[in-house]
Amino acid sequence: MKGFGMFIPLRLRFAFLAGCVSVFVSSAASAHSYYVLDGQPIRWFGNRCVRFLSPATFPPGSEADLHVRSAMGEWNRVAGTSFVYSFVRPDQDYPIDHFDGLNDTAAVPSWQLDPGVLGVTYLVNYGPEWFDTDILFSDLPGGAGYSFDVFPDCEVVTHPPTHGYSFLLIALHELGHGLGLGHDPLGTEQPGSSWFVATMNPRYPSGGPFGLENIIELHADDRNGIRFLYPHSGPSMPRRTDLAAAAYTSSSVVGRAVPIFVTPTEAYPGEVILLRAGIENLGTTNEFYVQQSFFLSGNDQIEPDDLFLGSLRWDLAIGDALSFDVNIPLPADMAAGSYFLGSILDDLDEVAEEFEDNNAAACCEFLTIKQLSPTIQPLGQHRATCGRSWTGPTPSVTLPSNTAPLSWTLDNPETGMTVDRASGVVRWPRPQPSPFLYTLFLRAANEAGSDTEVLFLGVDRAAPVLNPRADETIACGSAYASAVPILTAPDCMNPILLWSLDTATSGLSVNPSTGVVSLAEPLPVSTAMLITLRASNSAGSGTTTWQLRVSAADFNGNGTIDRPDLGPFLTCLKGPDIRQPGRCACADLDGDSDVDLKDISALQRDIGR
Amino acid sequence: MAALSDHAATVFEGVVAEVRSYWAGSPRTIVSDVTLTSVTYLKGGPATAIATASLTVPGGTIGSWQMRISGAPELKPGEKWLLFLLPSYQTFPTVGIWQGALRIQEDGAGVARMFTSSGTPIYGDAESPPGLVDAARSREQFPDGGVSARPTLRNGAIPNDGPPAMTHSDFLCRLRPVLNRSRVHPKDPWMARCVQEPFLKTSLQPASGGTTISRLGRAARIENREQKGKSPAADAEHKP
Repeated sequence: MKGFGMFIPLRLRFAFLAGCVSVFVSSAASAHSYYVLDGQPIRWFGNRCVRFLSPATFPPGSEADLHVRSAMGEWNRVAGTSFVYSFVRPDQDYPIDHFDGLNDTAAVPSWQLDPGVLGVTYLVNYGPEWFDTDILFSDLPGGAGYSFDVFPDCEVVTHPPTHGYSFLLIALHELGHGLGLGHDPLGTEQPGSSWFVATMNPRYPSGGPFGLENIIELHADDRNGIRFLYPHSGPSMPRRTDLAAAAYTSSSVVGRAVPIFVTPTEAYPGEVILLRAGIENLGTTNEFYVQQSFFLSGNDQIEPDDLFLGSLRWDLAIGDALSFDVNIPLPADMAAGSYFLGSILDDLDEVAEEFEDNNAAACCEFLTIKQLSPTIQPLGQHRATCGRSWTGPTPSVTLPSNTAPLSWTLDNPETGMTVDRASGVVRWPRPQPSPFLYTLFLRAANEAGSDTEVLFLGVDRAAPVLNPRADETIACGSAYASAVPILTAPDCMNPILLWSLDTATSGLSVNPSTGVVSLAEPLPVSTAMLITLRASNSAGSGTTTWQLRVSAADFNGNGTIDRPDLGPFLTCLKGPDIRQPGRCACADLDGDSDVDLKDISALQRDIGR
Repeated sequence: MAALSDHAATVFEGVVAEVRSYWAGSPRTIVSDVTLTSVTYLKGGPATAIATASLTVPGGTIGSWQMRISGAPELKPGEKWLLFLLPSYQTFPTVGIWQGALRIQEDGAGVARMFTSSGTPIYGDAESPPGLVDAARSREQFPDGGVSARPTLRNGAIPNDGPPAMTHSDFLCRLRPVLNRSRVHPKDPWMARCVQEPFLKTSLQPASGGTTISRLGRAARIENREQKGKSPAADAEHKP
């Protein structure tokens, strides 16, 4: 017969949540079990059990010896109990007898145990006291052998055919029987009830290790069991504070713990994932309002500076053990890839604990954040100036972290138009005019897909910009007509609606349609004429300016004043008040309205130049 | 189920009529003869059908002496069991000790349902497995995304909202094809035979490839615990 332990009185437990996580507590029922006689627990007299270690199985100093003594030590170390395992090393092995009062602890050939049996404890009591508990281990469990890894990770624990069965886990379990504990779950639970993850779970790996470092130690339910059977004697319970995050949790198979897990294992940003996790109070103190925070990490070491997802607050009474489901909304935007999901109990280190190395736990399996195809934010309408280099806006997508890296292209680029593949910025060194808006399809693509967004681009006509004009010198008296002015970008500036002169110089005129500047009868002036020609179109106006000089005595119009000009000059030299030919005004070099000897001197000076 | 069926030479169900314990063996041990009636064989069994079966199991009670095997089912008069029996056994006659012993119990409506040896209900594939909390139900509990948790009782039963155990008839419908495909064992003897040999003490065999995996922080943890004088191995007292 077995019975329930009811060591801890009924107690309400609350979880306090922060952030967006929500939780469903699923495992708080049931408890440890123990063997009974007439309803009373069977115990070891004096709270002590001496185990006889087989020399063949546990040679002193061997790994097997270290592990079995460690397992006994784990039971001895439980605070708040008076039970003690001790051991004897016989000089030589002797036959196993379940009624000789010697608690044999030995391995036997696997063929001497039935298929699937890793270890078995033969329990003999005389009345309400244990008399002999022989523990026999299969020497080659499952045909795979043992793992003596002190901190077996989930790969080792969940694949015993490959890595062997953890001897420490099995030894802890059998030693639990050896002191009087039965399996938990016991089985009188109602359908749908939950169960504690514990060393005394009937199926391997029997509760599994704790934390990121896969520490094999007794679970809260086991500790409750030994405390019930062998309560602490003395004035007060020793105070030990130790909170732990279980690396294993309940599964659909009652009594089989599995690594904490997340469902689904693939999700998009913003979706809600469900983490099945567990926390336990391994100590002897009640701890209130303890924070547990959940993180995503790029490696299996969950650290406080990993991606924070949310937190819970728990009241954890002595012996509490919880398996629970936490709804965790993922961030709306996060980089795609593989993450470890995990939690840290008391991540703010608000509780001073005996051991702080069992507070963080992570799922064994990756959580894959899938990549979404990009969605480009509206690009709107933009304007460029014809002929003037244009750089478009930097496009953005709705989930930049998740959709990165992106490759940007233009589905229908105009001539000369380019796009930066990394940033998506469109450039057009020489925008061309168009009566309509350009409709450009900008495309962003990643491994998940692509999206296009329309970029409307209008190209405005440019205000006229005229090529610079060189200064000119013309012969006096000869009609002047300038060259046709040239626009820097005729495509972008035509039609010119009006050509005009900014300067009003006597005799100077401009063709308003062609921009040709003309002077019918140039006369010498003392300073050069400054001509500013203005072209105007619908976008504005632009000017060009040049100087025009009229060479006074260049009668033959060859560009220089030289001796051949002397004859015509003398013809004009008739004396004062004598009517002179009209072109003789060009011989009035000093501008005194008379061609006289003073003009000759000036002419000679110019010829000499 | 397939593994249980393959290992089993005989599968039958019946009602425990009598349990008789006695001293046996050398070295000493207690065994019990269990007599079952209303026996129906599903695999193996005698050439001519008989309605009773007798099984010898280790353990039992004689006066103040009791002997148990950890995890083994305790068959009591009046209980109905479906047993997967090994062709021969060293530890216990049912396959996997407790795994090959299933209880058949009637519910309040008189429907026979299936439970494990420890009374845990057995479910069909289509029903919600025990222990799993479906996300939809959890979200209903916290429709606004969750600002409080569902309080529960320490060491008390949470509301019993799980599905009922699989019915006996459904279970047999699923079991029979599995049994038909399972490995056949020699039929003589048809009942599990105890192979009582003195145990040989031997060494534990390490796995070929699984003992040297190191973990981040492993050395640090060992050092930490040793510094605190809490090396577990040091805690077990040696009694010379």
